[in-house]
Amino acid sequence: MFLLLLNGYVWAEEVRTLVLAAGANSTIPPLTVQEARKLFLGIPVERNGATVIPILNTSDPLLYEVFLQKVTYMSSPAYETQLVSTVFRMGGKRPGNFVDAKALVEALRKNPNSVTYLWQDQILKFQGVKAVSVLWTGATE
Amino acid sequence: MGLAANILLTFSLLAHVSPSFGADIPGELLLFTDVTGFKRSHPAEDNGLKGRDLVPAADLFYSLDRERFRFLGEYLVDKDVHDLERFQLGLRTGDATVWLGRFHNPIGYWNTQFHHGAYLQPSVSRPGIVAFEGGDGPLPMHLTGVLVEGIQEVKTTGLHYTVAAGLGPLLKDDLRPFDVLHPNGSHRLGATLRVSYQPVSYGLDEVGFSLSYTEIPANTVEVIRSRQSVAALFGNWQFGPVRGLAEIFYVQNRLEQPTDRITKRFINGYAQLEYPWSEKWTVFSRFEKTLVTAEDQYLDIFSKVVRDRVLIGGRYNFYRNMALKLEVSRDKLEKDRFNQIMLQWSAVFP
Repeated sequence: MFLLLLNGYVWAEEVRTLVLAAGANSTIPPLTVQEARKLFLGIPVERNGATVIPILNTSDPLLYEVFLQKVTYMSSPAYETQLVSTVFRMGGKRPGNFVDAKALVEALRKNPNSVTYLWQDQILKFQGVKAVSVLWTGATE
Repeated sequence: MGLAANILLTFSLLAHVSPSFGADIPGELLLFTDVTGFKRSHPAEDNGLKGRDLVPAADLFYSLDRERFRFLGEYLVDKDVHDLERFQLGLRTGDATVWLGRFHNPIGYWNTQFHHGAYLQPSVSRPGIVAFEGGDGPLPMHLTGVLVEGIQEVKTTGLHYTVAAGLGPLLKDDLRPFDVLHPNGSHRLGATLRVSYQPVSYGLDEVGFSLSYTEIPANTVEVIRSRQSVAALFGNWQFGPVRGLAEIFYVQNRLEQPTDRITKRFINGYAQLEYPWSEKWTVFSRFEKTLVTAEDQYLDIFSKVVRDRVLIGGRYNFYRNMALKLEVSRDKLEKDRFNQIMLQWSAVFP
């Protein structure tokens, strides 16, 4: 009985996969979580001779929260402060931010060097984007 | 319109600056602003220290990337000073960047981490040992020359290194760094090596050291030149809910006097603890101490620098980019001691 209940509890939590996504025409190779973390902290990352451009996706609060926890290891205020601090010390530019998923996907399509993070199931939903690498897989409440 | 009214007007205007301000400008534009008020109990009049004041400041920062090149500039304006703080042109090569220009001397931790970004700084005041040159600070906070910084990453950890060499300050009645816009004076060479370890690269936890050597030509009654060596150990670490930040400096000055040569040494250290009371409130405390001989012909020139201090304070974060900080301290200078209360509003835009 206990196992059945436990099983039901696990099923109640949805297993989801967070992926690094780019436009379908992008040639950016897979990035590790550590490389993605650097990128979104404002540190330049180059692949195939081009600088990868990070774009924050705040269209889905849960997605953003999981990204912060599993990729940056920071809370939202700490992340924002750390971004300002890094740019202030070392130069560079903070990632752009999209609150509208469709506009975000359009931006990815337009610039093949740009990347963001999406749920894996969103890759199928949005045409013209692809998963570059898996950042995290796990249960979300 | 009085100063306070001007500040209130500025504050009310800035509070309504859109988050998209500057979004259309290529590169990154940041405006750090702060207004700091303080009151001291009975400072000695011959120190030239004010009993109370209100100091507004604005620090404009701009950075632009073009291919592998990076430009970085910072200009500070406050009630008493306007200064081109940084002016750097960099070339990125892998995980390293080579910079030319005027930059923050990578000495210790505080000077590179916060500098004029009052909003980024947890407390209102800087520790006395890293006071700015014009603010009676005894160490060179800026160099003009070459700086190389980079990182060696192993899995998630990072070993940061910075090597800097360039023109250091002159010593008159205080240290005067090389001024890019008004270059004059016979500035001499300074150099700094800084190495730090981070268990998670580009994270907050960090321990490390720096070694500096600066030749400082002087024009004072007692000193005509100082060959200054500084060794610093620093750490910024999270202990459960508490963040601890500490630095210790060993400073040696080989002084050339009109008729003599002497060597003077002092040690300064500080430790700061920060506790997040809630999501918006943080309380902090700092203890600073200087160990110095009865007569130090170098340090005694900086009569206004805080040698010992005990402080407690609180910080309240509001909106998404502003902070209000209150700090109460007991400060000891060379020949004076007083209580001080400071209140600061700070922000970063956009």
